[in-house]
Amino acid sequence: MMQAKTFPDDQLVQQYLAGNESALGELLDRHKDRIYTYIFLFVRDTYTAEDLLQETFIKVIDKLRSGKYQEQSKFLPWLSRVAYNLCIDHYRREKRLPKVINREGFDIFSVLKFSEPGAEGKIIENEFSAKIRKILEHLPDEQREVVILRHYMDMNFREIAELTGVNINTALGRMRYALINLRKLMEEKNISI
Amino acid sequence: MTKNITQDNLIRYIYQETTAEETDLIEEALQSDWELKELYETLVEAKAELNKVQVSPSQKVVDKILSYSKNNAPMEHWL
Repeated sequence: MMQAKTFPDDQLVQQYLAGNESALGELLDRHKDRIYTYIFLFVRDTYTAEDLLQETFIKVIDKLRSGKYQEQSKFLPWLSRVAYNLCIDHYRREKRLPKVINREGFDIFSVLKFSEPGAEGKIIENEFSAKIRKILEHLPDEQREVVILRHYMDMNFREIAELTGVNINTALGRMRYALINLRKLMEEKNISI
Repeated sequence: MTKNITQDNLIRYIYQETTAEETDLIEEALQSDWELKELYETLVEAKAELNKVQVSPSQKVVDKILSYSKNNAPMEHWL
């Protein structure tokens, strides 16, 4: 018999909709770290990141049950978009919207900027997240943006280009420079994760 | 660097976004073009480091999600 771990996401979704709660457990287990890391890199606050993760999955559960998930074989990109939209809503609620607006009416750069730890009083930084910040904050905004979107949002370069309003070659170029710079920085500063 | 294999194509290859035809061309070029190979290795190493960047949520939040699902299951699943 096939183990749940080997089922593709969409099959797990179907099982879940048929009443198998453990299928949701498997989907959650499979994707929670990636989505949480992505959210955390956005908000840099453990409590807020956990709240947004919970909100993301609750929204996903509700949408699945109401039959709003129609994207065959694209569960993770769909899940990532739900998380992305909630991150944006969070910043809108917090009134931290920037002046420069992209095609979707939102400037991603503003939220990717890392404020000083402790600035908001409730930021908890463990050793690991400090390393993430240390490495990524050395990158120019537009490079950091593409790293987060490609790596933790699982968006392809065409989608990133569309979202950020640049052409695909620009998005690819930014990723290339980001990776080269990261490698260089790690060597120079002797940083390893 | 091998003609027609741009550095941007290499990025797409690393992130598995190339077509089968492009993949073959790049893999062939990597066999013979040391400059391309060197860049490829640098990019792959950086990507591997990024893959290690992962944080996990607490078990508490995972339990809350599962509990939400269980407590709000449609009625037909109660039977």
